[in-house]
Amino acid sequence: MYEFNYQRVDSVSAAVAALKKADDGKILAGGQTMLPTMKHRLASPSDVIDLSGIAELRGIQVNADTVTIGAMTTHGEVAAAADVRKAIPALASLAGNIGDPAVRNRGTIGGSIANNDPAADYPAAVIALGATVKTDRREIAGDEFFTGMFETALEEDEIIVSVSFPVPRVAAYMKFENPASRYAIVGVFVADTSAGVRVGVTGATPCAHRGLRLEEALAGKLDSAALDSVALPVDKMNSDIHASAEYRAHLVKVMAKRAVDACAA
Amino acid sequence: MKGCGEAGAIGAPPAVINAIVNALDIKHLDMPATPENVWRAAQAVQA
Repeated sequence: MYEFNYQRVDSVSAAVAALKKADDGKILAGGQTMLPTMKHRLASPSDVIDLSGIAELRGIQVNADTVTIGAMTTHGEVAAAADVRKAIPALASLAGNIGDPAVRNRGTIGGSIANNDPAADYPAAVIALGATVKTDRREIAGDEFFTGMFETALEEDEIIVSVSFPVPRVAAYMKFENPASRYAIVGVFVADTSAGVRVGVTGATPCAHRGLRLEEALAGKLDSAALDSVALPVDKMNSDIHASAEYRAHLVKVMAKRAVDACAA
Repeated sequence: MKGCGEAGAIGAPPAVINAIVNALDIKHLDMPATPENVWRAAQAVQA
């Protein structure tokens, strides 16, 4: 990697100020995407602003209606949290199946959704559960957060503070994972929420999205047979060395049916 | 002294490919038997 200034800040406002002041500053959360990117010399920020010293950004709060996860909470912490496993087991197990133990020990929910990798798992959950992303300056609805490949609704110097997930009646996440990286070639999160059955799809297209065709076919019921007739647009699907667009279109249906079956069980 | 440790591994790939060929009732499948390749072979059979 190229030389950079390292700053460890102790508050969110200090982090925002540091970002504003830097020539080309980047936030460091778990470093699971940014550090390899810097090592590949695909990114060379002038300043790396480390959030790990900000206690306010860590921690999980669970009440009857909502699970709120601090942006710097690691995937391992979410997976192991007994109250998350009780309130939204699908979310805990999603976190527990990200990457590998080393990744889960460092990777954070804030970093994951701010990066918005097309194959990341959390975006499908944020969308399907209708989560709210709280930043240093506002709240952003999950449906509006992910705007394009590696793009989000966040402003240049905006920092995620926490993500709040409404507790659903039942939910499940099924992922067809790359055997090496465990990234989602396709991942489908189905949630039976107070606003009906919602579906979040990741891995299949350039950006995680709401599976509207799948929701329409389900018509509010957790019966996977209703998905048999759904035709998904192959031309919108990603095609790469891991899977062709046609295979991804097929996999979305398979993972969606498995997730619906898991909810209904 | 020549090594011969890998000889025991020779049988595994043909056994797996033969199993897939048998399951799909086809004559042949090229390696690697990735999930997508097996899916395509199954789709071709159904067509």
